[in-house]
Amino acid sequence: MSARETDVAFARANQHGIGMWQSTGAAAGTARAADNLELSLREPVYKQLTPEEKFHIFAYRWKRESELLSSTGEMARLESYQRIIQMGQEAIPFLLRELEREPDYWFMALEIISGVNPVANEERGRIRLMADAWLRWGREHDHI
Amino acid sequence: MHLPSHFPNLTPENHSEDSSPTKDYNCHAWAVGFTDRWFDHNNYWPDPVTRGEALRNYQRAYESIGFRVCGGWNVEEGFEKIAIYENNRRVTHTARLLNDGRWTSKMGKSEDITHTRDALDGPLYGRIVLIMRRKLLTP
Repeated sequence: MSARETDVAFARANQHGIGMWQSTGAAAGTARAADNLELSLREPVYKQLTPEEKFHIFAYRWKRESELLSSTGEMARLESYQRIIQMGQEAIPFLLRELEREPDYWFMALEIISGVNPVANEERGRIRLMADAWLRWGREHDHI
Repeated sequence: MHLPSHFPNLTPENHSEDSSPTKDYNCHAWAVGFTDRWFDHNNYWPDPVTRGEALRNYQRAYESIGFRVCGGWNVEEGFEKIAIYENNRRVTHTARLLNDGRWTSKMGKSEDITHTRDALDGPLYGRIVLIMRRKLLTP
């Protein structure tokens, strides 16, 4: 997600009444918002966010929490990643666009949601090749 | 990178950051000399070793590329050494011993750092549970 998309998601959350989600464009405000995600998820207002906005919030948090992890299994067990998987098919275009913008280890979520794995065995572990394989699959199946 | 909160032993004096962040490789790859792949049970993994996060899986994976379990973490001429960390019965990290007795680690998707042996012990990576060594081809 771009910084702007993240900020828009947090700004909309703020508009809906989560007072702690302060200011558009302020990195500190965005970080505070992500830190308070668990509290915010209990707010009824969360339901008013679009799927894409929810995705951006979970993705932002996952990137921060997974930064120092080397196990993709550990990354996938993080709540923010699980929440994206729980979004199901509607998360696929968001995941692919995020993969296109900045490759990251979204592959397990894509595989679990879609039930397929277009990555060849010799490409496993090569993040750019894995991203390319998923993006080709996404275009072939009209997800992006 | 938010190192201190995850690593209570880490101080500005016992580590230095050596590279820019990259998602191209992780600690397990870096420890054994790869900088073009993410080495874990879901990604690059040596065949035919059983994939898994348990210590025995990683031990066998490293054995398949020439490492053997050894006793000490001192520098030994003619050998490279790696230290495997475990937390909650899952392998979390691997570091490589440098010639000067310090260790080098790739910190997840973040930077490579040079550090002292116990600097990364803590709630995120756990602690070192196994040392392995491999004979250098050109000592």
